[in-house]
Amino acid sequence: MKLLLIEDEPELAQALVHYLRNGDVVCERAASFGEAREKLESFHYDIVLLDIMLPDGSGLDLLELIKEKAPDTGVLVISARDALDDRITGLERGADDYLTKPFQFPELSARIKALYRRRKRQGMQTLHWQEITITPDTHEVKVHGRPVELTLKEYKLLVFFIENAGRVLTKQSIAEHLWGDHVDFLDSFDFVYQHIKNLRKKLAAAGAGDYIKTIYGLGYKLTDQ
Amino acid sequence: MSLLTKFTFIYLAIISVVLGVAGLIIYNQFQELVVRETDYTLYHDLQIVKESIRQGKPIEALNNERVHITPLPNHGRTEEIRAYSDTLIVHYFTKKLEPFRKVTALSPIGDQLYRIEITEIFIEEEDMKRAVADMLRKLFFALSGAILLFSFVFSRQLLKPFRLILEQMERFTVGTNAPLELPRTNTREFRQLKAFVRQMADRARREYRALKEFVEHTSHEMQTPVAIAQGKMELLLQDPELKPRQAELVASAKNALARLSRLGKGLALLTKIEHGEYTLSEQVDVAAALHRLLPDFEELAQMKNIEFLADIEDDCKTVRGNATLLEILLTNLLKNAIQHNDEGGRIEVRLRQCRLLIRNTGKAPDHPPEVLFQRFAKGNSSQSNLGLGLAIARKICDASGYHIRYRYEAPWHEVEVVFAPPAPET
Repeated sequence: MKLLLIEDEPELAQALVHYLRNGDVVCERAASFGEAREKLESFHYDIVLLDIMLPDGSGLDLLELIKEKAPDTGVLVISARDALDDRITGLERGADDYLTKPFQFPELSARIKALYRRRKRQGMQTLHWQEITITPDTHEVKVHGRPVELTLKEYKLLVFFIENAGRVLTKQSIAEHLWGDHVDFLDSFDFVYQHIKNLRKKLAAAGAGDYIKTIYGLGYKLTDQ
Repeated sequence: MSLLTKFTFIYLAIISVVLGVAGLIIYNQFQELVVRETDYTLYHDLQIVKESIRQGKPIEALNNERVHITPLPNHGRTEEIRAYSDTLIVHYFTKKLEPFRKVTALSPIGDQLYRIEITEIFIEEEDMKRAVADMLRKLFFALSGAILLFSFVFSRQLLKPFRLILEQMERFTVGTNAPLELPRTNTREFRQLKAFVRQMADRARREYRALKEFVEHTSHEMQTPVAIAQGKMELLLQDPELKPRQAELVASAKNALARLSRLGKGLALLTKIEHGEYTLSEQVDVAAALHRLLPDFEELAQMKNIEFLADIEDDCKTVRGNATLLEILLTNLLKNAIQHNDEGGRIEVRLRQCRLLIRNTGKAPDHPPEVLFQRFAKGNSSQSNLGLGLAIARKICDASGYHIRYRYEAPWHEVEVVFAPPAPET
């Protein structure tokens, strides 16, 4: 997957590029409107992460350029301004998703993957991790080709893990992914453990290996090692 | 008690005192006058009696109920002595003891000395008092009438600018820019008051605006650095070299940052509602929004062993408002009900005829209910509470025209929201 990050804040951009470059993901960065336009005109990207507010122009104009030059490119707008106008204008002009700064990196990563899958309509519509296969359209989970019954939360949890495979996910980012911002008032995210336990149990019963590793004091990680 | 009533009472009290003192003075003056006049009459009568004696009238003929003449031997007295005195005498007519004025004179007439006593009845004291009292009463009524008339007709008119200024001040809010409509007046005090009120209002608005801008900028500007810090920590977490103890520290620092970021977003949301950035004329479906949100909160409640009861009637389907704001409102209220609940407590959510009642068990509030809706008014709660939730809920209700009310009746905390049904189409 080829990503272009258009973000003028160097520190944030650097962290994001570093975080997103993982496995088959290639992430490039443009720091200004001009640089972004150059790159967009010269190369093709699967997903563009677009900051609306750039020092030398509006990200919304870039959005139009992308839609014109490469309509199959997915656009995820990231903005510090949680202004409704931006969100609506962004989505109206063809952005696929919107995230407000600051955001959890795993959340962004999951959104990118989901967007990538939606955009790749023509390709395979499944998500794989070892012997586990997921069909997002139907929420079907199979282990060794045999279906596994999961609750909605367990399903979302599994997809979140697979989309962030190899990364440490804190209990908080898991909780926020599953329940949205509703969990921000909770003092402890230990309840995440219960869901993970159930998921592990169901996967193990279906004959899958135990890939969810507990990282002490921190959270969990999906890994095949 | 109103200023006017107070004034009236004070005036009446002053009048009573003044009239009382005036009564005493009048009575005394009156009495003096009476004595002087009586004495003069007595003196006059004495001259007549003396003249009669001088003319040689027999003394027996001159003596009567009022006049007593006694001839005395004269030992060379040539000057007359007169003395006036008060005395009580049985009245010759009424046969009652009455106050009389008496003159006693030793008068040398010719060679003879006469002791002449003449009495004259006083004007009765009771009559005098009654006359004075009667006079004062009439005066009192006349003055009171005048004052009451003054306070209810003229003072009302005089104080009208003051009342209008008060009304304007009551309606004043720092958040809006509606100009103060202060009444025209030529009373100096009211003009000063007006100038003062206007100055205060301007200053309050200026300072409020500055403060608001500051909060807006801060909440906006802090998002990028927080995002950077969060990102770096996320990277740090992915470092396989990280020891568990270090990872724990990073994770808790990350949580604190997340809280800071939510605070910024909450403040930004408040200002956005204030700026009217949300369209409030959408048709929203309260019941559907609740049905969508409740499962998540039921799950979250279960984690705290809270019993969750929902009774949603499907009748509040077209309410004027904004879908996003409605969801934020419901989320905040439900969150609140879980957050301020006790382990093993209870939550009841009921929607009936566009009245949403959310009640939950929990500790008695530390703050009076009015304060709960203000920013950062934290109840006795977990430390992760931002104290913005209810302020946002209140702001959303105010902006959308819903009524929100909080009540505590042990052990229930009750929040009721009355959604305004859509205005009939015209």
